[in-house]
Amino acid sequence: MTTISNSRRKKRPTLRSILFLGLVIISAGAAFFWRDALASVLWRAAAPLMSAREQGADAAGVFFSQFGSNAELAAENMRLKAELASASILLMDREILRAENADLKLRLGRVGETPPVLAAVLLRPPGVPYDTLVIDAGKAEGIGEGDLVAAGGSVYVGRVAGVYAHSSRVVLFSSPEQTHEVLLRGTIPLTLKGQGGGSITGELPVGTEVAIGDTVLLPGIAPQFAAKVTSVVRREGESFQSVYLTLPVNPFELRFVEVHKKFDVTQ
Amino acid sequence: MSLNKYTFAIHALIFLCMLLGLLVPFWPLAAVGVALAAFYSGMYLAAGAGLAFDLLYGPPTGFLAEIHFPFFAFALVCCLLRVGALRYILERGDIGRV
Repeated sequence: MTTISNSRRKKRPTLRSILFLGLVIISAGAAFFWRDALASVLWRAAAPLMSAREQGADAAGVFFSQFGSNAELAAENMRLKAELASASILLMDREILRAENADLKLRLGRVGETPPVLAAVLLRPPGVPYDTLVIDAGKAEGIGEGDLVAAGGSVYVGRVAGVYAHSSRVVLFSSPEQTHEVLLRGTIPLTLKGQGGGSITGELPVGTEVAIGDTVLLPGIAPQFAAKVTSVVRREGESFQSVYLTLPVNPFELRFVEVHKKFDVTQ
Repeated sequence: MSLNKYTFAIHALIFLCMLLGLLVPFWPLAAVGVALAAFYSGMYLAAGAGLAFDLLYGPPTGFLAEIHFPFFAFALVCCLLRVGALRYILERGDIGRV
């Protein structure tokens, strides 16, 4: 019978563990210093897979919708028609105001807007552990770090934080610990802090009037809708009230976004 | 089930979890894949997969921002747990006697 003593087994690290430790340090160092370059290479391979997944999800949605009952589909059709009618009226109003806004800016010598870049969302929460998006437009499509990302029109949801060759990473305004200077109803300055999951919070002096449904705009010459007040909490004896907001759209359902050049919004 | 079949099944499960972590919009599956790799496969696979997920998902936000590579760190913690658990079992079970 052979006995291996425990003290002998614990003696010193094996060559295998030293090799593993060395590789860990080297790979962590490489990833730390060349993070963007390595991510770019990985995304070059992963982007087609993600696009295929999105197309597959669309096809599956179309396929399974065939099995819905007629009554349900008819009810949904009616509801969607009603929503479309009200949205069309709002959109008409918006388009008139937008055209007027652009015309006024042009008359006052401000440069017109450059068209935004349309991008498909490859990864969104809860596919990503953080409040970020990965979109399928990158350096090649003219995306730059700091560009504003809109869900559509002037409804902004975040900023580009990392740009790869053909994809980019967008940090949502609701991302944890992200702070933003905004204007409540376009006039009252407010500092917002992301909480994750599309939620944002801020604090205002108790005397400030704020109501559920109030909008928050990003400062700039163009109207940039960033969030909507969903709850206001006032506590007895405190000089500040907490304001809770959500992004104007659900980031979990975003399919396409528009990327606006940083240059436009600073004008 | 023979050892080869068992190993194959575990590796298939690990890769399935990792792939679904990317394809199904539910990131915890990726973390489960990394943990399974650390406990049942090799430490190199777990660390490599963890690093790849960190590169794909980008730098973390919030309190995880300090860690920089949370999936990689998670893989290393799982590897350490595996080594610790193995050592504990060997000592408690007196498996030293051959």
